[in-house]
Amino acid sequence: MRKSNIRTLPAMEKSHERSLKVNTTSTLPPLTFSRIGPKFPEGSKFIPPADTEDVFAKKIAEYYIWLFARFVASSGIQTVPALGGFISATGTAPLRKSTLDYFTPMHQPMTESSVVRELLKRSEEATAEVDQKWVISTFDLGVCMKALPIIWKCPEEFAQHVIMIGPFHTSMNYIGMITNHKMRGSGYTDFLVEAQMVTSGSMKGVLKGKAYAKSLFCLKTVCEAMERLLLEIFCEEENVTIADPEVLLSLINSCNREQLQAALNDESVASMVEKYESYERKVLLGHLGKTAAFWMSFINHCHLVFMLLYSVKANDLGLFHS
Amino acid sequence: MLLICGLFAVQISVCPLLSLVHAYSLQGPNKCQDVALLLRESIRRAHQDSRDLPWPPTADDMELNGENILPADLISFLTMLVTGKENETKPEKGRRWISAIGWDLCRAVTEGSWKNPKHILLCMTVRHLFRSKHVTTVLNGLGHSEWCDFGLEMETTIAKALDQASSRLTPQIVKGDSNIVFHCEWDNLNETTTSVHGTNIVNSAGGIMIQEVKLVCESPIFEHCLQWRSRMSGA
Repeated sequence: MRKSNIRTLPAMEKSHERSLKVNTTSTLPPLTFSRIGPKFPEGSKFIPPADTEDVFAKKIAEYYIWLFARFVASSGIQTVPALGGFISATGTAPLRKSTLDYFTPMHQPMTESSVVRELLKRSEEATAEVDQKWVISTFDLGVCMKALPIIWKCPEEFAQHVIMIGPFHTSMNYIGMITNHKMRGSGYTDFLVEAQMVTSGSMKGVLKGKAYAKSLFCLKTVCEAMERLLLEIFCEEENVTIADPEVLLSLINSCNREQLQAALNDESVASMVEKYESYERKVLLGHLGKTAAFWMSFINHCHLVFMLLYSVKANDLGLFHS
Repeated sequence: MLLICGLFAVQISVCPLLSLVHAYSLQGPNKCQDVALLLRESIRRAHQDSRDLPWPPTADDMELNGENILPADLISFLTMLVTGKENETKPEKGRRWISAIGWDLCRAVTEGSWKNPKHILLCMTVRHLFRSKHVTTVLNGLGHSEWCDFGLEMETTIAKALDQASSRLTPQIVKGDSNIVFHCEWDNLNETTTSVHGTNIVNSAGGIMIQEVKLVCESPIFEHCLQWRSRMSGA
């Protein structure tokens, strides 16, 4: 720890003032400018990391094994935890949690460019106090659309700024697009009401993704139900057998990283995962009809959301990028 | 106590050569005067030797137990006066009384120029409990507390000093080498207010600071906090 960081209460001259004169904070003047796009260096290309598909395939295999385990253990009391619990049970707990604290709120609407500029400046000041070079800020989609043009307009002033759309906003809006747009009229709403998961009053928020926790819970449940139906057909049609079910059973009995790794290394399980994946691709191309293909696309969207959540929960940057 | 204070009201020239032992053994018509002069001199010397009150003073500057600051002569005298015995092992209550009376005497002898913890704290406490200028003024008139405006001045200066020392960061956030990643997250923080006139939405921007800290960092709060002690020692 550096000595210079120690803060002391400043000594002051006696002023004989008996009250503090605090002026009302003035509202920020409006910030207007002509929007310009980002400037990239000549000839720059955007290429995703080379191992993206490998990383995704490796992690989605874990998801499939979880799915199989849930399917096998579904008669009676379910012993395999849901996806979030499974990721926690098979992952490693961080040695130290991130520190969280709150900035002083700013009582002006965030939809104004001047406010967004001020927020960028506040982030910059706070980051400078911590002695960090890069100012990393996360905003929602709307504010990103305000913040990025400001940075593009003044690239030198905001050279150290990194603006991100957080995974929360990404997944929330993605779920909104799936359930409120793509799946509208598909019967998704009816499933939720019939299964008594959501009341009609809160349906709007759930479909839009704004009621995030509920929305995600519903998405996970419907997706798992669809996967189970698909698995049943898959087992019937493909006549799948696992040579050594012990691996899967021991994962069901004790859900941890060792058992999951054993299942991942098991050849019969791996071949089942492979067959199931190719079956899913077949279904997507219309093997079971157009309705099944439509719901298969829903499942694929859900996979993307789940993998994003997995990457955040497991702090897996490679998966996050993929 | 008022009687003792009355003794100090008489302005007499100082006789620095008197010692405590000598004073106690004095017999004769001026024995009260001798003891008073001795104590007066001790108090004035202790006042001169005492360090300046940092401005604004903080909680750490307020050492209520005066045994280390009050003149030893005064404490001996008061111990003898209160308990009737020399070097009596006093209970907490007795020690508190002796300190309190001692501070009152010091303030009276130095005509209020020796600002001591008892008077400052009592002034602030009464102000915060009752918000009454009258109560503080009465206590001040009886010599138990600082005057009301002193409290106001001190509070104003503390507020100014805190404002000067304030930071965007909260004490939870670690600065310097222990930081791994510091991350700011902003989102709108809308509050829907409902009144007889209908509903209205108040738009604000709320921010969260998220920090990854190195494991070796034991106490982030310590580093970030305002260090009262180091200020006192001039570090």
